[in-house]
Amino acid sequence: MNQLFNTGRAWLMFRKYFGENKKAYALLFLACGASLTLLMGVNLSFDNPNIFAEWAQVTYYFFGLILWGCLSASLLFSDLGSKSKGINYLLLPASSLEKLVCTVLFGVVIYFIGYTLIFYAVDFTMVSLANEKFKTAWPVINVFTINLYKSTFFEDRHTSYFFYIHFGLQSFFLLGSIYFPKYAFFKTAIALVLIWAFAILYLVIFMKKFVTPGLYHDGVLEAFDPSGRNKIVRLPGGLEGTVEFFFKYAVAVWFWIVAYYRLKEKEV
Amino acid sequence: MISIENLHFAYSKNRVFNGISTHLQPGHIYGILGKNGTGKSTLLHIISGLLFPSEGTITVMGFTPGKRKPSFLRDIFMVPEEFHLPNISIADYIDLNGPFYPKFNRQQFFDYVLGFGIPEHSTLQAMSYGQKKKVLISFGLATNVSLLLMDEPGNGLDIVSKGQLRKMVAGAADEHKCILISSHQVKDLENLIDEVLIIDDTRILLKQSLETIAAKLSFKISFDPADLVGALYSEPLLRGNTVVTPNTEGEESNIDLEILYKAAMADPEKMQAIMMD
Repeated sequence: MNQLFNTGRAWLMFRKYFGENKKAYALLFLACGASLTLLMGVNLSFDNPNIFAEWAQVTYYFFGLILWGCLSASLLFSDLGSKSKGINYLLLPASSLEKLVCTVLFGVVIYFIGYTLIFYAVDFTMVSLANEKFKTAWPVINVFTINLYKSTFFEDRHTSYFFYIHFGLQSFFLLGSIYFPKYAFFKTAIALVLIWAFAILYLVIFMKKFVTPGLYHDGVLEAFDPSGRNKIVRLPGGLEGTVEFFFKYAVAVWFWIVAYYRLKEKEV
Repeated sequence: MISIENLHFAYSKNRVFNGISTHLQPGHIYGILGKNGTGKSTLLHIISGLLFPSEGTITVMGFTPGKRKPSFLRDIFMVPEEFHLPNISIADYIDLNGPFYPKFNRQQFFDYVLGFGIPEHSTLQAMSYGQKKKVLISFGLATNVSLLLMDEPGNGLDIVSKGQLRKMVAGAADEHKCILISSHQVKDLENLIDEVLIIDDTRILLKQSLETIAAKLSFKISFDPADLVGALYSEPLLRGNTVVTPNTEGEESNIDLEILYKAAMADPEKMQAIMMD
């Protein structure tokens, strides 16, 4: 018998997880829908016709996706914070990988699909009402062609970067729910701020000492030269691609891998 | 089945076990006795893989429990003192959890549940603590696992149910199963266990079969003050004394677990010397 991953056991795990958590997920999606309706409903009461432009809809979408994603992820392993629930969870005859895959499937994938469907339902209704009220013709956004819309945060229409941020952040909060048995959301948020502050300090204080003075733009360093003939410094293509790939796709997976090992060594 | 060698365990600076070693075999119902906080639950948690020893080794059915491999987990079940059941119906609970245990018997489960007087179609949410515990105990027994761990199973059960529990556990035991029951309520284990394990002060104070104990110790009510002189332990009653003495006449008496426990705690060295004899 495969002790790492067995599809039969994983199926049993999915069934059990769904059977015991369907009410919690229904409430989560209800809360997502209610908060989006409230947010857009309040905006609908204003007199600004641009408040339902594509960029605004993109903002609503990601605001809810990231906020509810992080909140729900911080509860995914909350069972481990309770002795009685933790015993149930850890002694359930499934491997740590099957338990993690099940949690990621529901907490990350199904959450993403569910939230997106709810957003479409609310957005379609609200945009229709806004077009009616303001006599505008704003279309409902397509989240799969999100880069077509102007972004207020990223240049060159890189709005899809928000997806990478969402999955990375959500996975960080998932990991936090294993590390912190109590108040996981707040403790993870504090940890995130500390890591962010440390990274900024590292860049500002230490990196500045070792790297030639210059300006960063478009992923390259323009190193100042006293002669006035500044030099462009950039990472080798392969390394640049690797770094970009890591921050885009591998951050979330890396947090899941850490979560797997943390789950294996969890004691109750 | 369970082999423990030189096992050490501590909660930060609070040492619980200091190099304990023991072997537990299938075909027995072991009763683990000890004061509150002596490590009865901790031992069950280590055996099930919920806690990892800081030193020493433990193997259960050939597995290292801490690795929590599915092949190991499907053949053990623990009824913890603090437990949680989801808010679903009994039928759903069985459908969702039973398939994880290859030897789970649905009919057996419902027989136990009905034996405890719980209606088959109840919802776990609407049940009292005691009723939920009965469901969990029934489920544990119906899994037919090789190793069943029960931590204070009598807590929260009424007097009639405690009798039911003893009957069910005794009925579920066979030569392939090992059942470990921890309790600080000694009466809960009477007429049920066949081996006793007393834990105190980071060590196993006594591990012996009741058969051996009956052969080596004599439990009686004495009205003769002369009997108190060589007694291992005595306790005054309204009339006379309960006395534990070495069994020199080879006549077996009924073991009073509570008195045995008190005798072991009163003079551990003497008790161990008698058992080693």
